[in-house]
Amino acid sequence: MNIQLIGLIGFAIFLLGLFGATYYRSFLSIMISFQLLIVYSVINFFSFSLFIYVLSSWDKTFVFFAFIAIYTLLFMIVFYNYSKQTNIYGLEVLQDLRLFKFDRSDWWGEDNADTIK
Amino acid sequence: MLTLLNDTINRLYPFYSSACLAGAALVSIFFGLSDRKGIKVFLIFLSVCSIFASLFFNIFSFLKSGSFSDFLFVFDKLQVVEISIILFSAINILLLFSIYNFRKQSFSKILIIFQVAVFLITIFILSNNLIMIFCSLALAVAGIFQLVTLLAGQSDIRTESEYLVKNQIIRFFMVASFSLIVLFTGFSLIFGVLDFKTFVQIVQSDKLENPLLRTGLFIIFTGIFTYLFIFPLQSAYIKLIKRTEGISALIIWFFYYPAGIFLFLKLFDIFATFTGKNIFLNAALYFIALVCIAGGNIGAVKTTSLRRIMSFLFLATLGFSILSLAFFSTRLIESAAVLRLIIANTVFLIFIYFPVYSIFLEIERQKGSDSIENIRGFARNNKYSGIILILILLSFAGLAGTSGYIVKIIFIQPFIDILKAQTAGWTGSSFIILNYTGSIAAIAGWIFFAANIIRMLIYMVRSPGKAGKILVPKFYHIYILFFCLILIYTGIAGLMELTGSTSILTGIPVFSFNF
Repeated sequence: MNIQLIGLIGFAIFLLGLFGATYYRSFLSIMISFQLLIVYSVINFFSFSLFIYVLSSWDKTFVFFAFIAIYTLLFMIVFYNYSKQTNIYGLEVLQDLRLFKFDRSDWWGEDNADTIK
Repeated sequence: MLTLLNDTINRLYPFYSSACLAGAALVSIFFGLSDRKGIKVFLIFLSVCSIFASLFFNIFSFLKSGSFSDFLFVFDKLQVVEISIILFSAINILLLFSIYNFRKQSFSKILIIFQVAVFLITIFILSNNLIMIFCSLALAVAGIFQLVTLLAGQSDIRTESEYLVKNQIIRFFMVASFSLIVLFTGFSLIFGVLDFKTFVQIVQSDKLENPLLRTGLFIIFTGIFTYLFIFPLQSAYIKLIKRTEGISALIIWFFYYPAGIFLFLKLFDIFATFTGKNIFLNAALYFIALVCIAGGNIGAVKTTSLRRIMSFLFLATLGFSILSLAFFSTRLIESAAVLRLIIANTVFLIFIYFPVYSIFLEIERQKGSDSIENIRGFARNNKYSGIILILILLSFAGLAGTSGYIVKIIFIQPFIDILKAQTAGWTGSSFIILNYTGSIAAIAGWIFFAANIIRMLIYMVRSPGKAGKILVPKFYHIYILFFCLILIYTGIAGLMELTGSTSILTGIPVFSFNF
């Protein structure tokens, strides 16, 4: 396996993650898309360190800390979401968490866009 | 023993300010479970002392020991100013938070999280290494997330509005996480080009033309763009500010946003290297800035919610900062002026938003809603605070003599320079159309911005009508007077500097201070 092939596979994963994160409305789909983006970064770090540079122990430690930091944040968000449940199936399943939603009310007039259907 | 202590203190440099905050957080942990009034007062006192001590050591240690730079951290004039901005914001947020949340059961715990969040932001400001920057920023955002969620309230959701608050908090911080992951991806690509550790190394290297490096940098700047919720990605930010607890808005404005702005300033040298050559990049910057200014102003003029007005105007002000980058890209202004303007804009927002928003928050608390109708007749019922608030808002609009015009004059000056050069027979640079468009749009944006402020002023001086009488506590009179005096003081100092009496009042040159 060479670095070009790894790069291409990694890029495909990145595009999948990017599409998922910007398109889906459900909490879990977006979280899974985030994982794909993180996987792409992991692939980059490891492939570059395998084929081009040798990661020093400092670098390894810091990359490890970076993963801990981002996963801490993601874990907090997941925990917050599931610790505050309404027990109303419709509200939890139909919740719209699209990251970049383009509503008229975000530009014009009052904030009345996401009333519960 | 004394030598060991002295050695430890010397080794702590440049983390004196962070150490003060960390120390206070550690001590507070022992009292975190108590809900007794005396303990709460003690924790507030401890927090205030630690923040003031941090502020003092931040400036004093720099003056005494000078700049510092190593593999992981950097401490220079810019970092001193940035930490001071965060600490000053922290003092004000702490004050307003204590007023509105003192009776809350989880007050002590929120205070500890608050101290930790401020500590993490100071560490982020000092970071120099790519991964260190990322780690500290991610943890700082995690701290801000905890603060916002704790302030949002109860653990059980009982009403539809509570459910919507939860959704918007999650949405906002998912966007923040997304931008952090994008930043991380960008860092991983940069690592592929060379074993870079800091952004300075990138500027100094001969790999600037490498496509992988350029892709990495593009991804990083995209990450900053999404992090700052710049138009058209503002949805989650606008909705969160409207629905969340009042103090959370201040945390977002003065902890979350400055962190993003400071991240950009860490990358400013790279940005400066790549701009100026590519006309499409320059045009894109002008476009983003103008959309941000126009979007912010249109959004503010079409809503009656004070929180939405404030959040839209915040984005419009951010648009002016982006416009300064666009001006720099076509070399209308120098890089030193851009840095000065971005920092001045951030400081200026602090001096405007804290007094104005604190009054609006008090009115919202009394009336139960944040409608602009609630401020109708405010200046008539509260003559003293009304006059001060009018002065502050006029300063926000750019009134000469108050500090508001200092930020705006940086946009007007290049336009005047171009006109002067044109009359002297100068044919202009290759970006002349962009220069003209940008300058005219900046002036139009400023007028539109001022119109938004005047709309609020008209409401304040009109007859109260059905809105009834609103009286704010006397504490707010002193609080907003403090900010008003500083705005006037710096404004007059700037005017004197313009007329040739250099920095008599402040001792610091307002228009030529360099970082």
